[in-house]
Amino acid sequence: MCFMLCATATWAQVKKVSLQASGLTCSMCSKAIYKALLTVDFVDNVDANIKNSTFEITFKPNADVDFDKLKNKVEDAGFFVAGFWATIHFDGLKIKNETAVAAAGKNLMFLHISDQQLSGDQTVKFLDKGYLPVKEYRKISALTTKECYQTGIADIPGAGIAKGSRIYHVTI
Amino acid sequence: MKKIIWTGCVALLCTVTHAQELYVNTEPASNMAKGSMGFRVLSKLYQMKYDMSYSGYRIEPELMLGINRNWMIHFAGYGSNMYQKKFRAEGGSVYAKYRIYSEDEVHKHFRIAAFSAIAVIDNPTQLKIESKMNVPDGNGGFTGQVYTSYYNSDEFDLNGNNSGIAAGLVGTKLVNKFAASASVSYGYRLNNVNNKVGTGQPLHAVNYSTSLGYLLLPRNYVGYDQTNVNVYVEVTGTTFPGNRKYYTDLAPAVQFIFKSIARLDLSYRTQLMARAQRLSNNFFMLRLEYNLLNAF
Repeated sequence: MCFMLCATATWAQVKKVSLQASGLTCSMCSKAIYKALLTVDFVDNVDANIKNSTFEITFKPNADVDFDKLKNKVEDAGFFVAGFWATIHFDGLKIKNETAVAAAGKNLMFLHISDQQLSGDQTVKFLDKGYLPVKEYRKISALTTKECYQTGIADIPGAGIAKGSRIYHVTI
Repeated sequence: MKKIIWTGCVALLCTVTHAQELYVNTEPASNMAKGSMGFRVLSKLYQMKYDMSYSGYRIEPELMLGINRNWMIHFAGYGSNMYQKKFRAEGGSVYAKYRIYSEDEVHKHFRIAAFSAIAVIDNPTQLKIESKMNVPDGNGGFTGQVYTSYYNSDEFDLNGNNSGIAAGLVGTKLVNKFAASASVSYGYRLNNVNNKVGTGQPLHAVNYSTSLGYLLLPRNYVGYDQTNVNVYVEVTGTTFPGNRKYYTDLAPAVQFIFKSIARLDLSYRTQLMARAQRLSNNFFMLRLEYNLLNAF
């Protein structure tokens, strides 16, 4: 069960996303992902590194960034996400371990952190299913009692977080 | 001998492990990207066994579609001059593949896919060969006489040769610049459009393949415009459980990939061993492929 203590709503914006894809080596496969990511409506530019299978994605101004849409594009191209990081600009957001907050128009639950306040550009790593290798996901899943980590859905409403809405699990 | 080669292939698969998997003579377990479309034109040049002085050729246009992340489908047409001196359309086939298992890591994967194919072909099932010979006319001279013979082929080849259906599994392991793949499928021969299955032609076929590939160039990736060079060694074979006939081929190949979107494949396939009557024991293959990403 997710106990939602929501911090004071603060201004935050997703500035960029870096993702690493798994299951590919060659440039044809990399290009399939690159071209698929470019079709996403809120994506402005994709900078691909074929050798490391990484993609740096920047967004159109004031875009509502849908992380799942980016992940699904990688999977539709025939591959999986092995790592997913979002650089978000925070303006004094207070976070607690295993406590959900609303930021950048998203619901985030921070795991494996100490209580702190986030300011400026910070990079968070996504821990949800499909956002990291299956083995890593299973390891984290075994350590958390939060039901929403299995489902990705907020199961208890909190301030600014609607029950049943998408919640992402991240760490910093 | 067959057992030795097969054991060798399996051993190679276990020890060398993995390669680039855009195989030339077989299909890997991986699929095309969702919404992508590929066009291929393949030409094969055969030395025909029933007339060693005659070269047959087959042209195969092919359309490939990535339906979603798990399904892809190929539509192919065939035309050749292998059964007659004049080129003519032979028929078509549909091939579908479904990815059933994926285990991906960075620069690595192991995947298994199930595939099925159906081919509808209008070729003779028995080749009528007429040869003219000069024989003594009884008056001290010679006269031309036409002899008719029949050539039967056991070959099971849904890529233009005969009608039939097939279904099987393929597994592919990729690690960095190496990939290895193995497949096995069951095939059933159907009557050709205007000719029934020939007497003695095996109905049931078991097809198998082992493929190894290696990304030779570029040594380091810096962009999508670099030309890629892949090299492959593939072993393909068919056995007919009904009459214990079989054939196994070896097919080395080289592949060039341009701008990460177009392919040129060159391959020579030759018989390693056989106990079966075939139309041809070897062929050269040239294939051009162009892919459109996000086409639909």
